[in-house]
Amino acid sequence: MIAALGLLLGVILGLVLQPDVPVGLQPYLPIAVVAALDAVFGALRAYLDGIFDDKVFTVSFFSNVLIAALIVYLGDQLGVGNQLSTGVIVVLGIRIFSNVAAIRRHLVHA
Amino acid sequence: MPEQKQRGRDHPASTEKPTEESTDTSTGRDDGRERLLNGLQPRVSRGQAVVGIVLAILGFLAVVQVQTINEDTEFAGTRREDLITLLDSLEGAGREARAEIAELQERRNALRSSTERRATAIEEARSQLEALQVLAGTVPARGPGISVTISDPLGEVSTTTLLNALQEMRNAGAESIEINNSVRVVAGTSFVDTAEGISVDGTTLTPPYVFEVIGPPETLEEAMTFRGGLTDEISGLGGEATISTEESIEISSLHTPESPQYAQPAD
Repeated sequence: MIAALGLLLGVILGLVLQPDVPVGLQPYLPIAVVAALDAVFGALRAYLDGIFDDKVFTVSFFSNVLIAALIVYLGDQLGVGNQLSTGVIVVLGIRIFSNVAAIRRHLVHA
Repeated sequence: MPEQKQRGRDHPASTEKPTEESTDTSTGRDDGRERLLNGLQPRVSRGQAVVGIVLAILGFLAVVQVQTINEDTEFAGTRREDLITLLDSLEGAGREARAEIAELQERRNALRSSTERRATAIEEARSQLEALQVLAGTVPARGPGISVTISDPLGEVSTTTLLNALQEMRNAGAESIEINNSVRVVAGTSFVDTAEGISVDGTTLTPPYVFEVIGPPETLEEAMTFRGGLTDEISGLGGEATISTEESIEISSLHTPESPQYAQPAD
C-alpha cells in the first residue's frame, strides 16, 4: 500500500518540479526507466511467488539501471550506440513480458 | 536458503528464474492472490518504506523522461552521425539556393537595363513628337519672339513682299509663325494673289498684316530692321512695318496636316 503511495508521490514530484535533464544524460534516461521497470516487475512477481526481499529488490533496481546505462554508454563510445541501446531495450522488454506473464498466471490463474 | 528456493521454483510454465530471496514461508499459486490482498492493506514496515522510496524514484524518472521527450530539444540529444548528415544536406540546399539567387539577380539586371533603354527611347520619341507637332502646326505654341505689323494703305504689298519677309524670319530662326491670328504658317503654306487680296493657304487676308513669330527675339528684330530689309522695303511701297519684341507670343491657329499622296519616305 505504501509502495503504491510512493509511486504516486514520485509521479507528482516529477509533474510539479519539472526539472531540466542535463543534455549529457538525456540519451540514458529512457534506458534507465525501462531497466527500473524491469526490476519492479521482477519484484512484483517475486512478491506474488512469496520470495520477495526488499534488500534484493533495491540492489537489483539500482544495478539494473546502472548496468543498462553503462552498456549504452559503452556502445556510444564504440560507435554502435544505436544498436546496443536497441538490444538493451529488447532484452529488458523480453524480461518484462515474462515477469508480467507470471504475475498474470498468479492473479488470473490463466 | 535452499529449501525455500526450491519451493519458489515449482512453476512449470515460467521461463525466467525469479531472483529475489524469500523471507515469507508460504508458497503456491493460490497464495499469490492472498499475498496481493495482504499487501494492499496499509502496513508500516521497513520493506514497505524501502519499496515506497524506490517506486517514488521510478515514478519521478518516468515523468521527467516523458516531459523531456515532449519539449523541443532542438537536436540536443541526437547522435553525431545524424547531425553530420543533417549538416551536409543543409549545406547542399544552401549551395542550390545561392546559385538560384545569382541567376535571378542576373535576370533582374538584364530586365532592368532593357526597361531603362525602352524608357529612354520612349522619352526621345516623345520630345521628337512635340518638336514636329510645333513645326507642323498641329499644336498651339508659346514662346518669346516678335510681332510684325505691316500696314498697306496703298495696297502695294504683294505675295512677293510677304514671302521675302517670311524667308528672312526663317533665316533668323523663326520656329512658329502666325498671320493675322488666323493662319498658321508651315512648310507647305502657299501665298497666292487673288482679286480680293492675298490668300494664304486658302484664307484671304486683308491689311494690316500681323505676323506673330516665335523665335530668338533679337535676331528676328535685327533681320527685319537691317538696312535694305523688310522695314525699308515696306516704306518704299508706301506702308509701314512696326516690329516689337515680346516675351511671350501665343500662337493658337492650327494647321490641319494632310498625308502625302505622291511622296513616300525614300529609305
